[in-house]
Amino acid sequence: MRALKFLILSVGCAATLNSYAAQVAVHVEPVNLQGPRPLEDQSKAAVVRDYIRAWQSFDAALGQNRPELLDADFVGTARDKLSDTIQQQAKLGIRSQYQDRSHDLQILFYSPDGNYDTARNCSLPRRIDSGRSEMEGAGISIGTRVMEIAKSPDPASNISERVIERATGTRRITRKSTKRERERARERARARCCADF
Amino acid sequence: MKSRSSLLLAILAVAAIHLAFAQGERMTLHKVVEAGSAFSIQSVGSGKAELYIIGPGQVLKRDVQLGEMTSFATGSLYNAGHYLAVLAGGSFTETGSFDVLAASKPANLSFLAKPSRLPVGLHDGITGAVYIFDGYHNLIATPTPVSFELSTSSGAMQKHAAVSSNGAAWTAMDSTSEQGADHFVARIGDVSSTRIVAQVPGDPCELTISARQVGEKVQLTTAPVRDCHGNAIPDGTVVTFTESYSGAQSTIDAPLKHGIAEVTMPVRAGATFSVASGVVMGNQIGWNK
Repeated sequence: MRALKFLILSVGCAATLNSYAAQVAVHVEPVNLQGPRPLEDQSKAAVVRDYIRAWQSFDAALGQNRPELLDADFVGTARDKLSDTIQQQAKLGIRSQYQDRSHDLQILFYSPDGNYDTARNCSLPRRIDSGRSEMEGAGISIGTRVMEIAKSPDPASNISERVIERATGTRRITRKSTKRERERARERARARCCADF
Repeated sequence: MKSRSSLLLAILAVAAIHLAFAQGERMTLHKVVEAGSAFSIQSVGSGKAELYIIGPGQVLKRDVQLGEMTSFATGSLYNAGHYLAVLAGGSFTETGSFDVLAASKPANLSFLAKPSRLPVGLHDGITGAVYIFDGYHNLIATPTPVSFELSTSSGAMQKHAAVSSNGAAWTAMDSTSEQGADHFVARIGDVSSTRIVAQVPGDPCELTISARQVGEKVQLTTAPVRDCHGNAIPDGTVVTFTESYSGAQSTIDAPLKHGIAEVTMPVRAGATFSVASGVVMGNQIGWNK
């Protein structure tokens, strides 16, 4: 039995934020805020920008097994968890890459003092992931944006292609979903996302 | 009739299995696993293989004997997320996926209270936002009742209740009329988080001065300066004394010391003395001697 040296889950990573944004469709759902404070346009733009950047860092760090690439966009527990994952990957000789074809982002919570917000991606598998987080020792962090990304339960809507490669390169398994499958999955995820509220 | 019931039960059972498991050719997965709980993956076939559990929160590997159940003990997979299971044998690779969801019992609260210091008597002056996590620091997205309490050192308490949405809940409270360190607590069952909010006196209220002649000068003294709730204004707060005479003005700024401010000004016939602090004006005294 040969060990998996490289495991690539989905493909796609962009070199710069601009090209990344051009490559990845980011759809921002109408703001449905829980909280007393209206969301300023600048803050809304910053959430989307930070979210995309966090995905970029996440892709790069897990794809190259370099935890230091997380530093710009992840702090606290979120960074620690991802860093642990990278160490586990490195120990097993694995690296992973996440391909994000599209994001349906909905901003859900904006704290009364304007320092924290919560957004979720309706087109990703349900889980709580994180962008920036400085909530450890809460109450002392100032001006840091917290981005919690809650994903919807359907993995197919986001991951459109999955490639698994053997180290020797002799075996390559590709599963590519059709355009229709992807559209239907996206519609399901969006419907579920909106139904939750 | 009995056979129909059995058939119905069988159909329901099959439907339940389809909902609960992701069935591949060589392995059967639970679709949803609670963070930190034990679970297992059943494989079919014979021979040896490697099983990888891969997600953004954790990566695990097990050597498995095909055809046997691979068990993961409590606490082995604890970070919420979407995971990929990869079963790699000598001649095959099979993948499946499942979700690890946060445990339902809250264990940690991240409580953000703002500001840490404010004047007394402000409506909705204190805000608190709380994020709810399980014991593995996964955000609990299911609605959860949260209680917020703001208590003063004398025991007076404001209480608000809220229900979290997507892992967050918030509240706004009035600062009380009493200066001092208030305890602001967010609580879910026996889990709580406390922040200290310092309440300081507001602006001076009813500023009054008295005057007495001392030789060739007049000594002006304020009454103890307090805010509108009776809290003593802190020493160092500046009080401005103004003497107006013959179309001219003299002013002296004096800090509060032991709760009062005191200055000595020259005596001029027909002068008027007034006092102010911040935006608050005090009384005026006319001097005709």
